[in-house]
Amino acid sequence: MKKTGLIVLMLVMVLSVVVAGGAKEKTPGAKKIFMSSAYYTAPYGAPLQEAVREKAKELGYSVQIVDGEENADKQLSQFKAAVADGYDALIYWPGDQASSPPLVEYLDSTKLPWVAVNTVVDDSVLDLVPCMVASDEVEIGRWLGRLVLQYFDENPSSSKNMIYIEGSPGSSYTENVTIGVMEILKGTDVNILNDHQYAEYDPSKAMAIMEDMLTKFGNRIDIVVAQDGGMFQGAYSAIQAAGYAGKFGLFCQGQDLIVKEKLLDGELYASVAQDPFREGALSVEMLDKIIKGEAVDKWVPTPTGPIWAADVDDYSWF
Amino acid sequence: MNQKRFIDVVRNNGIILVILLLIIVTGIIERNFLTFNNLLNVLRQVAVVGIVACGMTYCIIGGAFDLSVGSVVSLAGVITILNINAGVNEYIAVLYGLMAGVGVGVINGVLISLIDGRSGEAFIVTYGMQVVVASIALFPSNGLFIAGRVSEGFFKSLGQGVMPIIIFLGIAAIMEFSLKKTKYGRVMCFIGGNMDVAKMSGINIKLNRISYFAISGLLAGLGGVVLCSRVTSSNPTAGLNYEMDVIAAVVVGGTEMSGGSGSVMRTVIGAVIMGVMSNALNILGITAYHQQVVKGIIILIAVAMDILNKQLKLKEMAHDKVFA
Repeated sequence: MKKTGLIVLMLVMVLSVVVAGGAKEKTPGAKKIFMSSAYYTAPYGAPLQEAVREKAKELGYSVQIVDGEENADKQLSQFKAAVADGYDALIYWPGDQASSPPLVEYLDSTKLPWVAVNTVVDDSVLDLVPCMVASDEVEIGRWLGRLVLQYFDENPSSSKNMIYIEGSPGSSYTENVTIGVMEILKGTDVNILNDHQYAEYDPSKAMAIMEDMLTKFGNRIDIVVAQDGGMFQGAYSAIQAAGYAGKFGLFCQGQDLIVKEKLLDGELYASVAQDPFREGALSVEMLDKIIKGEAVDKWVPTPTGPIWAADVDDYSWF
Repeated sequence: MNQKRFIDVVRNNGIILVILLLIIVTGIIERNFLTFNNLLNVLRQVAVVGIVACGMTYCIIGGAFDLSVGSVVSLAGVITILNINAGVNEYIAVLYGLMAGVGVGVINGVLISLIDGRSGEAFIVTYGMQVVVASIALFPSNGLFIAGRVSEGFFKSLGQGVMPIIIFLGIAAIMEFSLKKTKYGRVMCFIGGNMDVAKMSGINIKLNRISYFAISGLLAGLGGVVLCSRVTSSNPTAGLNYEMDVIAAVVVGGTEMSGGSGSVMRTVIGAVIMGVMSNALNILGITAYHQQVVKGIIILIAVAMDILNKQLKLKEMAHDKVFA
């Protein structure tokens, strides 16, 4: 009994220290922004959320960001609690397109200023969104497709075999990027070997997939496309370990530091831009305009397009 | 072979027979599958899960679970890569990663021992630790993916060539020897089988149980280091849901969930089965959706066979007593 009490006491002390250390400095009198981030712990989430914090501070707001854990029900509860707690404005990072309607309807019903960021909301509720700051996911896929065709124009080959490593099955982002890729490659002679290889944005899973593909197809592979920089790193490790480095054309999407490094090394043909810093900052700028009653566009697209080795200094990296 | 022996072999090795069938079919369809290189490939792929599963086997045999291993994999990787990138000696950086694992394991063990917890309490305590450690892994990296600034040397060699396989099989051999041939192993089975009787026999339950969690933490840390070495990077969420793959490997191998008996070598087989299955399904071009269904069914078959085996053994014992 005493021991259990002691453990509880120790844990309470640790908790107090953590809570005190984690508490953010609040600006007295500042309007409060609440953000529920579906991808709080994802590598893309960290820079986006940091940009939200910095821009909010710059514009004189205090901001609270919570982890929505890709769970629409949890995010809905978080927003309900935030509204009850008197937050003045809201930022919604949806986990998925399909699960967004109930949240969008709720946010619309609050009559508070709010914006959606990063993940495109479902078409059925698009009209209810005051402003959506997001890149065109299908366009990102189209760019990957265009780069593949450009690569084969520059590097003619008798075969055009491609390994395509995707993110998570069922994720609207993954599916939209794939829609864009397929739209461009449809009707061409580019052949996707073993379609739908999902590495769930995990470098080690991407590495295992690439090892299996190398076992099966070996030097029949011409190019490898990964949906993000982390998965590219995993696939690259497998390619390097198997002695195929420099023999395939490599592409990915994203602005991770590893992508920059491999672009500069000449190991990556090109990447496709999606800037988390710009997206995060834009979301707060648009929210600020809505709060002030200024007009904003319904969809503020984050710019996308190819990044080449020569252009790396024009982009932010994380 | 008489009918009873044949039934015994099928009963005790059913999963292995299913996998052998898969290997034969895949080998016939895809000639690259049954090659030495692909065998090494599979062993390398399962090495990390396998290393962590060896530690989990001790925990389960000792009558507990360690759900924090996935988070420890992430934390150890982040700590090691950050230290290497900061210019710390590679050996020291790896040691820091391993120490983080041991530290978490000892805390788990002390907490569970202090409350005299059984498998249920261990489940909850290590789940709590999993959440805490997963968050701690995010602090130093700020949630970002970190590329390792290393292209060769000791750290890089841990994940290259046959090294992950040697580490995995070496650890498994030492642990199996310790489990089967030493007093420490026999005490572990005794504690897992009946903790109350073990306590009455004068065994230092607390110290032993802390050691199981410390070993589990150490091996989860080692798994994290090897994983980072393989992909030359760390991801603070790399170990997310790893504990489930690890427990699946232990269970598919045949270690009883209720504790008291099991084998590290069976866990090796369990990990290899899971790896061969993924590899074969990938090579056969089976889509990810179907792969998950197959994996789930294999785990269900393993659990069902474990239960069936226990029931049949009880029946046989009762039968033998009646007709003795």
